Amino acid sequence: MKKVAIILFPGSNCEEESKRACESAGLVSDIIRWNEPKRCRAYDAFILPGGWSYEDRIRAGAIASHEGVMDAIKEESGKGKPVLGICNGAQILVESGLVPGNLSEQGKFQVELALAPNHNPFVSGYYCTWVNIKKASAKKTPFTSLVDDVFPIPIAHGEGRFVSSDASLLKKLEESGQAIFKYCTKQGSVIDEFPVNPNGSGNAIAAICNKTGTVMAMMPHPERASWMRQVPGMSSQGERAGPGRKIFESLREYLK
Amino acid sequence: MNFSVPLLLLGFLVKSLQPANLLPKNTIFILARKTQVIGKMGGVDVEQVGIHAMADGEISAFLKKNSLALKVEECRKIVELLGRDPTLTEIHIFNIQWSEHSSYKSSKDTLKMLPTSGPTVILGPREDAGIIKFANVDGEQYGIVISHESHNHPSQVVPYEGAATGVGGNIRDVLCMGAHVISSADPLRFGNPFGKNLNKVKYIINQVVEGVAGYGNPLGVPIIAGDTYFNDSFDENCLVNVVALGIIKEKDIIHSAAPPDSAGHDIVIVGKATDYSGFGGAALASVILDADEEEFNKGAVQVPDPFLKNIIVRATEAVFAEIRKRGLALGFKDMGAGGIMCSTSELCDAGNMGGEIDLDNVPVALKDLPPYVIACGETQERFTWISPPEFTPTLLKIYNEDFELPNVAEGARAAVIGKVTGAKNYVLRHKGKIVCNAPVEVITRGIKYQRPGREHKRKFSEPNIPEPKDYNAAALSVLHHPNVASKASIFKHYDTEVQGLAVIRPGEADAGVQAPLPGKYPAVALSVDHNPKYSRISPFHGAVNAVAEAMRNVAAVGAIPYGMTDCLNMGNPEKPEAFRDFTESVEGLSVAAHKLWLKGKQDTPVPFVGGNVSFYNESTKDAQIDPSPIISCVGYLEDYRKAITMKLKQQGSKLFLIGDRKDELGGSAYYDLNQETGANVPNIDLESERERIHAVIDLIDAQLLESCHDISDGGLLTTIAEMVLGGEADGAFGAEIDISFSSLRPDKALFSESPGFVFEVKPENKEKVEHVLKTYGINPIELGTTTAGSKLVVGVGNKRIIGLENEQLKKAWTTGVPEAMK
Amino acid sequence: MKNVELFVGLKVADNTALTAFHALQRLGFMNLVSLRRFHYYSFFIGGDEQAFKKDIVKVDVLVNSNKNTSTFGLAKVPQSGNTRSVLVQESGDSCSGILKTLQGGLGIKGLQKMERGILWVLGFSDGTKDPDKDAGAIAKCLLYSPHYQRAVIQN
Repeated sequence: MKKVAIILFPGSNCEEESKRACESAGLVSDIIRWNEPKRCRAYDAFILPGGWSYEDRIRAGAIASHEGVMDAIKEESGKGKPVLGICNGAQILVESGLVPGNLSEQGKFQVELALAPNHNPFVSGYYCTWVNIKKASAKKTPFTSLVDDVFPIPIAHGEGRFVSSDASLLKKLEESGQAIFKYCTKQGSVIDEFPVNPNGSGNAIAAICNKTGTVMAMMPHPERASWMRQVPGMSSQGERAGPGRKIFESLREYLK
Repeated sequence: MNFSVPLLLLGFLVKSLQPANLLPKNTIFILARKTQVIGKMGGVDVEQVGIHAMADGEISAFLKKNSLALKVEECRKIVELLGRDPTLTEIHIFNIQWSEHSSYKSSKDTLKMLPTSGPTVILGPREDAGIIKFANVDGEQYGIVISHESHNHPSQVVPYEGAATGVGGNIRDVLCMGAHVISSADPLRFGNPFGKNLNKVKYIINQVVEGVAGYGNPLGVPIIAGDTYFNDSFDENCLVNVVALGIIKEKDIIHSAAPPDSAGHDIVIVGKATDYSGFGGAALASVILDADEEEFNKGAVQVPDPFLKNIIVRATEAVFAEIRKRGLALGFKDMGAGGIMCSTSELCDAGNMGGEIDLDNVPVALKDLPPYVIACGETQERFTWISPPEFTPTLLKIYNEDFELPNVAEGARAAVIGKVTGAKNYVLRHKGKIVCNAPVEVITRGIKYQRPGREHKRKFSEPNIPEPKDYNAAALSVLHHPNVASKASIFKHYDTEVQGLAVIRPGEADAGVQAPLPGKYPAVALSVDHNPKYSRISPFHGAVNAVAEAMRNVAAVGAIPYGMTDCLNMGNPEKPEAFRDFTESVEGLSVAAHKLWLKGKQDTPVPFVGGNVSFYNESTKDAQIDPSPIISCVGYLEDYRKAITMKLKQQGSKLFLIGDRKDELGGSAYYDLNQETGANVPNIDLESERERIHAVIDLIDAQLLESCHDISDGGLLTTIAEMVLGGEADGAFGAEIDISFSSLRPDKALFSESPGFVFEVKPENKEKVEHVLKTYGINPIELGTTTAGSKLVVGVGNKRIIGLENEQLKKAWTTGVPEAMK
Repeated sequence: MKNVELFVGLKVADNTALTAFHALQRLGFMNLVSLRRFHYYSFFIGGDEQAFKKDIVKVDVLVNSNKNTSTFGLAKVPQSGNTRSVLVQESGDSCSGILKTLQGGLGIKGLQKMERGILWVLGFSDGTKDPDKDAGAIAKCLLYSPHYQRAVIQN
């Protein structure tokens, strides 16, 4: 039976709802602490959940990216196991180089991206709101096979702007299909301007994956949109599946 | 709160008791509780401060030198109580225990007016948090744990840290009952961002909001409600109140008391290493702030650490799971004002036990801290457990090893510091010497004052405001008023979605709603309210309105008001006018709670299960805040699927109004825009208000309403405009209403803040709605209809006086607060 | 134009610096013996320097004297002769928002331009052979992201 490990870093805070979201999609999952890295090898996929590892001190995800358990994650990822980083999890993946995931000559992951402080004319710093995203690439990933529409999803972060010192990198990632999700209007138009793009992220990119698609860093929170109850204006639909559940159901299908 | 305390004459009391009205002003009573055995008066090993031989002037000088807030006569009382001179440590202990903040010395008697029990109460205001009945699911009775506190003075001095530690401290109160913390709310009061102190005020606004966000967000506690007011009376004394909610099974409640027969149990503290921070914070809260006395503030800054707290919460929930698995009884209490001393003495006393503590076992961040700092310092993020010795090793392992507290923060850990004793003394040792030794109930009993009250000489009168020539402009300026406008630029700093329990989030409706049991339908609603200007005019009516508004807000989403908390932010109780403001406010709360009784339970008041009193919100320049009894109301909603928001849902619906528009613009936003205060605050007919509240709950339960919004700040016009806009200002429908039903001049009809509701009804439901309202004796007014294309049109009969597009409404409403904060 | 540099630190515990210090120790930088963090502001002014200095430290958004220390020069860290500073600044930070607030609402006279950043002061043990190299490694490892920040190492 395939199992997902949800890694609790010191300061993560979305682990419980991520676990519930996995279960609602038929995935078996366990929350494992950062100081239990040896347990990783028994799992088939990994979720780095949202939260504030080390309270985002210095830079979101910076300290956690050096946590011992990341060596285990890198090793398991090397075996092709899927790794999904949500919000702070995405920041950790970017700080550790697992996304975009290119290796140096010495075999070390290169840090080619950053998730920088938001550019937002309405609220500076941390910003929580509901947005819409859509798939922006045909690339197959373990997390997106069942995702086909524009859908609403919440974001809640202060450092969500994909950026690189290589000015052409984001374009290259788009061309290779690694820009998986983009912010858009309800009707699906990608407009690279506030409020459609809530944080100034380059080319309105909301999620980036590695070359093989097995590691994805996404800033919006699918576990917070896994039930219709959670979607603004939709709560009368109760416990029915919300749009974010498709991310977890896609993973379930992939692991079968 | 619910203190029925008989006064006992104890042998060593010198003053005899007389009827209260014959006593001179500000007489001190020593409060005692019935105890079977009083511990022996103990000896100490260190130097004592020779109070008994000192003259008043010498005592004053000593107090000032040591930055103590005690009064001279209070010092003499200490000598009487102990039967000897106190040590310096003991003086510091009483300094905190007898501060207003810790002892409620000025407020205890008045608070007895409030109803605190009833069929919806699992635990009243006795311990760290109150507990309201929630759903019974799968045979388990659940409760909503609620705590409501203030952190006003620290937020005026260091607004980020003050707000953050306010959130932190309040959340600890909920956690320590054994609950899982699910949400919080932040009622905030700031000065005038356009007035003479605008720079300071704007600094405080921005930093307080950052502080609230900077604590709750990393911790993972979503904000689901709040409110914000701006006016001059808060220029030098901002108010930062916090409410926190938790969910718990009734059988899992952990009490803030040493369990029965716990002699020999370990006293274990958990959390940050103790340092100087916050030392004297409780005493600081009871001192009037003076800009020149900054020296006094040094060392009083409490440093928040939500990162450490996040880990402590997770470790603590692991401890909860373990003790529930094993069926063990432990005591648990958070540390706030008075630190280790206060939490340990109260834990022991509440269990009718004593305690002995070795201060050398307390993990400290600095060497050579004086014993009174170790004992009383208010370092954040700390808790106290009373643990059976056989469980203590597991307790320590979970915190120190599984969750690696020492690696998370310097010196943080769980440590055994003492033992619970059968002898009812409270003993502190430091470097092998006894520095405190007194009967534990002497430490905890506090003191009480009878304060005189006197009515203010101020008079208020109704102004003569000319009718506006341009109603469009008048409407837009009301919507733009920071006390009316959208607060999205504040609450979008807050993570409202973490934990995934949100059903209705801030801005969408009058109350926030969460479904705290994942997969189950029962929901909790929360609203926080009070209009400070109303209380400036009439503290009694201001308080009544706060209760009514909080209940209206909860009803507007379909929930039944089950319980409330009250945080009484007031001026200087030693001033008779300010004390009268306080007693009148409490009277108003009591009257409203009784008249707006529990739905379905005639004459059973909606209870107050928790709260706080914050006095001395006054600067020495005699600028006193508007009396601010801030209320939170918790509502129960059986099925979250029935909850509705304020946004108009379709075109062609009928719009109904219940609640007469009266000439009640005293304290209103409209008058404020005309530089007037007025006199006619809403004088609520509570019988009718109750019927309206209960009717709305029934209508929503029967799913007869499409949207609903109460009337408060900004009046009827604002209510309709906000229904057109919706929380995100992206509403797709408009409204066309006729206000000729009202005999008031149109501006008064539109902007009067008399209570009421507006709701949207599908044409096919109109008759059923009227029928339900009739059973409550309510004749609704048919205001108008909803329209396609989001325009707001207001007419008086055939004459159109307002025609505003969504873009205009949106611009006015969404820019009001950002402009105030810039 | 004159240049005035302001260093704002914390009187109370600096959790960020403490966490960073421990993280660096765990990463093997054992010769790092102290780490302090300041908010750094560089003001370019016309007009009276003394008057500006008096005014600028009264600005709440920059210095809250209840919790902040503020100095116009950086004193040497006493415990070690081997200190290096790392100034981290955000690329393209025009400081336009704060500049407008200072010039406008707060009425600070003579202020024409400003820069800001975070200044880390690293104290190395006496035996450290190449503190510049170590400071560079520490900066690269943790203190800044080259993708949107730049770091300058100074004595």
